[in-house]
Amino acid sequence: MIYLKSLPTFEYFSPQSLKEACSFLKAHENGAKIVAGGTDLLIDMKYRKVTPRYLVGLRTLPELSRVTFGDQEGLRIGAMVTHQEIMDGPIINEKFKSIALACSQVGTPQIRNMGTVGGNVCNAAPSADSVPPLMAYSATVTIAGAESDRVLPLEEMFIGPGENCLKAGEILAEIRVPVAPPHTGAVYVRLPARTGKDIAAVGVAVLITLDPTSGACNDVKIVLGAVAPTPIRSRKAEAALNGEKPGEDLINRAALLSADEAKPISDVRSSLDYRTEMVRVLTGQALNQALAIARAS
Amino acid sequence: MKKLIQLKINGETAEVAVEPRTTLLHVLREDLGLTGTKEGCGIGDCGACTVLLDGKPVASCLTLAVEVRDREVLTIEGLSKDGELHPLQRAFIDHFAVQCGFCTPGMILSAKALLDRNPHPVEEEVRQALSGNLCRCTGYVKIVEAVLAAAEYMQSQ
Repeated sequence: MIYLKSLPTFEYFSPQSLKEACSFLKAHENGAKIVAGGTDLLIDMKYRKVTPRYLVGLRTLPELSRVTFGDQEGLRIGAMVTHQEIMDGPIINEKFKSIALACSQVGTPQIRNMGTVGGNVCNAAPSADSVPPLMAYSATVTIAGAESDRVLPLEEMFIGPGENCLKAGEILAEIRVPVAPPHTGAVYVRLPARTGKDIAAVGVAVLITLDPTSGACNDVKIVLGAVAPTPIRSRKAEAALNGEKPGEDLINRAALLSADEAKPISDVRSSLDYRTEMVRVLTGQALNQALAIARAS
Repeated sequence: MKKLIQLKINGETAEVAVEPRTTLLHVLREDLGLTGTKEGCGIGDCGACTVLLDGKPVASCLTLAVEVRDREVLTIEGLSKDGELHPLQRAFIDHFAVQCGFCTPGMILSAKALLDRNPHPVEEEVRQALSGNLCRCTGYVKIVEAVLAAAEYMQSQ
């Protein structure tokens, strides 16, 4: 496919507040797009896949670039926070390691310095690396609107490949991640393991909270990336593990259930069969790794 | 419509008139004549257009000039001081890390960002830091050697 190295013509709007940005988007419903890091949108524009009349830049809104943490309110990540900032965040590395690790798998150093976690979520790529671990942590999104704001579970953000649930005039403002209880292990594993360019062909995030006395699973989240039209929870596998003491047989069974729940496609990165088999393998690995962390904590 | 914006490039303030669609790369090469920054793929894959924005490597081909207002840009032209090459530039020459040279400015700037953060990198860290810069000539071995040698030299100074 042909692309041009110069961008199509557009007007740039720099709002003074989030509300002003929402109103502008609402007023120019079909002609305006938000530019966050630009690492996907500007490429699509060079390919002339999209030619918006207006771009709304959010760099002037410092509240969108903040990461804060409190024991009660948990982690709050502004939508304009870059992947590199998440990788470098001390609190995120200490308490939400799987999220930092997932962000380190995105693109190249240059792309991680530019691309934002809000952009990663809103682009709604099934392969978005930051999403499975955030979903495993039961993250919610705060969506600002011209009239009112709303809060949703992150998993309800996604409708299909490249399609999110934002309505005209809405902007993803913040991602909130609650603090997991003690005895929790969370991991993200993905293929290909090579970072720098390679988009995930399969990604699996797992979060397990153990009952310290019985050793049974109090809470299990298994999230599969790049193997369905959106990132998906593997609910049958979660149900098989919840309340049970996880041993080798049970983990193998859960991994098979995950492979069964995946709805992958064949494409240039992997075949359907390979993806299905890798969901089984990676889910098993992720469950074992998360269990080891949960038991050691 | 063009807008006048001020950019801080290699320590100096430059005033340029840009359209919203003008990329930082375009401003550097076409308006300011700083052609050390190269245009390769134009879609953020190759790293030839890498510059440091507030000290961090970014793809200038995907950076809107209007969003660089009041931020600091470092290009390859800003690296030498008083005619003296930066140790990384010296090391790239001494270790034969340059062949056609097209990727070199971006490589050196990515390497500089690494050494600013981590003055004692191991080979794996150098390779990670340069993973966004493609070189079709060298096979990377000489480039990695040059960065490690520059780090060692800078420590000894």
